[in-house]
This record gives sequence, C-alpha cells and structure tokens, in this order.
Amino acid sequence: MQSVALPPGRHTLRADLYLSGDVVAHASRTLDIEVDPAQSQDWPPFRIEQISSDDPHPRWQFDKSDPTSWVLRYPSGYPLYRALDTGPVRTTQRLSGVSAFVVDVCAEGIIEWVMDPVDEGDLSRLDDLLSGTPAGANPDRWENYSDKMHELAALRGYTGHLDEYNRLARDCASRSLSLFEERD
Amino acid sequence: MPVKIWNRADSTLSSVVETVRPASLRGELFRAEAEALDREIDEMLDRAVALAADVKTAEAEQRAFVKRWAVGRALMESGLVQSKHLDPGEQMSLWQAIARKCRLGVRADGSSEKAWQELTPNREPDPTRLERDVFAVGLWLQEQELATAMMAFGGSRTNAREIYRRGAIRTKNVRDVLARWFEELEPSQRLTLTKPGNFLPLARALATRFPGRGPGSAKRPVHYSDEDLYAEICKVLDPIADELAPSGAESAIENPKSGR
Repeated sequence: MQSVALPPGRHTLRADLYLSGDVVAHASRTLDIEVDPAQSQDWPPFRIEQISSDDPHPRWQFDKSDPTSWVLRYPSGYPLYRALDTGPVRTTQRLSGVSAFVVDVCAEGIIEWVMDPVDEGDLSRLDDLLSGTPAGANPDRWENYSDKMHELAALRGYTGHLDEYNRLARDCASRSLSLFEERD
Repeated sequence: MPVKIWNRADSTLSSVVETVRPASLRGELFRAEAEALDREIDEMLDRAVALAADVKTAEAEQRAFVKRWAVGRALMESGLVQSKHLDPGEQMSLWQAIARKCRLGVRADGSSEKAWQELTPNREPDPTRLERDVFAVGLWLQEQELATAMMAFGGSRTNAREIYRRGAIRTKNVRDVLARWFEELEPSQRLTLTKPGNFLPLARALATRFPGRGPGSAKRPVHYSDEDLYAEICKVLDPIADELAPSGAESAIENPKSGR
C-alpha cells in the first residue's frame, strides 16, 4: 500500500485490468481537492492597487467605476509612503513601515465602503461587516468598534454634524487598526 | 509567493499583489516580497532574451519556437517555479505576472523594456491562453535541449501544442523517442511530416495508441522503457510516414529522368 498527498485541483485515478495482455476491465474516478474556504481572500471587500507615480495624488481614493468591484488606489510616490521602511509585515505585534500605511488606508477605505450605501438607507454592508467577531479579535474591543460604527452610520448624511462625523470616522479607523494588530 | 501584477491604464502604471496567503489584505501586506520577486522576473526575462539571441534562425515560425523554448529554459534556470515559496494555486498568478510584464514591457523599477514584448505573441487576445500556451508550454519544451525539441516538433509551436494538449503523450520520453524517430527519417520525409497538416495525424495516432482515459489508459508511455516505447512508436507512425511521405519520393519527383 502506498499513500500520496495531493495538492488542490482535479486529479484522476485510473485502473486497467489485464487478462492475457488484453484490457478486460477499466475504471476511473475523479477527485477534486479544494482549498479551505476559510482561507479565501475576499477581505477587504475591494481591490487594492498601487499607482506607480511621483506626481501628486490623494493619499488614497476609490475607483467606483464598477459598482460591484471597487478599487482602492494609493500612490507609491506619496511622501509618507516613500519615507517608510519596506520591512516584514510586523516584527512584533505592532504594525510597522509601509504595512502600517496600507492597513491605515484600508481602515479608512472600509469605512467609506460601508457608509456609502447608508446615504440611500441601505445598512447591509454595515450588517455584513459587524455580523460576527473576527477570529483573534478581542470581543470587548470589537463590541466598542461595532457601537462606534453604528453611531457613525446614524450621523451619516447630517451635514450639520460634519465635524462630529469626521472625528468619529477617525476614531473608528483607529479602533480597527488596533483590532487588526490584535489578530493572530 | 505573492506576485505583483502590473497594469497600465491611460498611460498610468499601477499594480496589485496576488497571493493565496491568508490575512494579507488582498496580498497588499506582502508587497515587499512581491517586489523582490518582480526583480527576479526581470533577471529571468533578460536571460530569456539572451538565450533566444544566441540562436540564429531566419524562419519566423522557428524563431517563435526558439523564443518559447528560451522563456521556458530561463524560467527553469531562475528557480522561480520550483521555489518552495510558491504556494499551491499561485502558479497561474506567476504566469499572469510574467505575461503582463512582457506585454507592457515594464521592469520592476517602472522603466520600459521593449525586448520583452517580443518574447510573447501579440495577437493572442485571451490572457489565460497566453499564459498557459507560452509559459507552461515553454517550461515543458525546455525539458529537452533545444536541438532535440526542434527535431521532435520540426521547430513548430503548432506541432508542439498538438502533443502538449494531449496529456497522455506529453511525457518527455515520448518526445525524446519522437525526436529519434524523426532523426532517422530522410530529411525530405522529415520536412514533409513536420508540416502542421501532416504532423496532426501523427499526434492523433499517438493519442489513440496511448489514450488519456478509458480502456488502455492505465499503462502510460512513462511506464515503458525507451527501447520498448521506440518500438511502439515506430509501429504506430511508420505506416503513416509511408503513406504521407514515402521514402525516396522527393528524389523521384525532382529527377526528370525518373519518367514521372
């Protein structure tokens, strides 16, 4: 008996039974080896693209031309990004270098992505985001983040509360950075 | 191994990082590794250009065959594909990254490199096909030395694809034996039989003898010794060669005194 480890993908097992040199029976079976769905890469809910340019660009911006697939773009020539180290993702539990920059813009991007449909009264993205505590996140901190995001959604669209909205949005982004750092 | 996929829109270069690794913010957290790989791909493509330039052949189809082989050999020498850092499922992303660098002619630092654009065909619209046909076939072709591969397929990518797309006869020992079989033919027969229209019946006959599935598919070419395989292939191909390119036929046609 021999055992083999198969990589993800489709594999076929075939067997011929020979009698006096002739094939008298044949059988085959197909095996599909799948990647663990828990490892899927659908987060954050938009693509992230780096623009190779030294010209002035916003720190980040969304391309919403395809409403079903937003793209967050940030420039490689952004002065803060250029000044940061390109090291490992994190040497300790703390984020560092360009990774911290990227996580920061993503945290802000997630807020815009969630809040955009709130203008139309659609809270589905907010519900999706907060539907369960992410693996490795501190439940209390997640609860606080969740409360702040709901407050933010409630303020969305009230122009008289713009300062308060912006302050709360920065607070939410900061909380999500902390949550990211806590992950395993 | 996270890979950097370049793009150009409205003359602006941009890139995304692709990986199967979890917890990576769509790969973006591994951009430093993807950029290191991008620089390795630069070296690999420079090597492919140099390998292709070493071979002098005037015929366009053979030139294209040589380029495909050179890309495969440079890829193999680079060690990129064998890297233990290449996770399952990432090979297609690697092909895509390399294909995009060739198509855009862009180096890791964003500068332009026109020579790479000639490594890939420019009339294949489907990126998946481009990547599969160019890089996977190139890697497969280079398993043989260039002269042997040229002999097995008459320097034709079309012929190579006819064998490549029939998985059961794709093995190196079939190709080596095929090269040996062609080598023992008269040059005129070889020339006739390596024309794509004539090569196709050879590929079909081999695929019929060594089916990919169903009865008779369990014993594959790889299970034969070289000598036994050569004997089997002669049994299959000799009758077709006799029909399509009879020995001495060309000299009979070219000799006006032969009475034909």
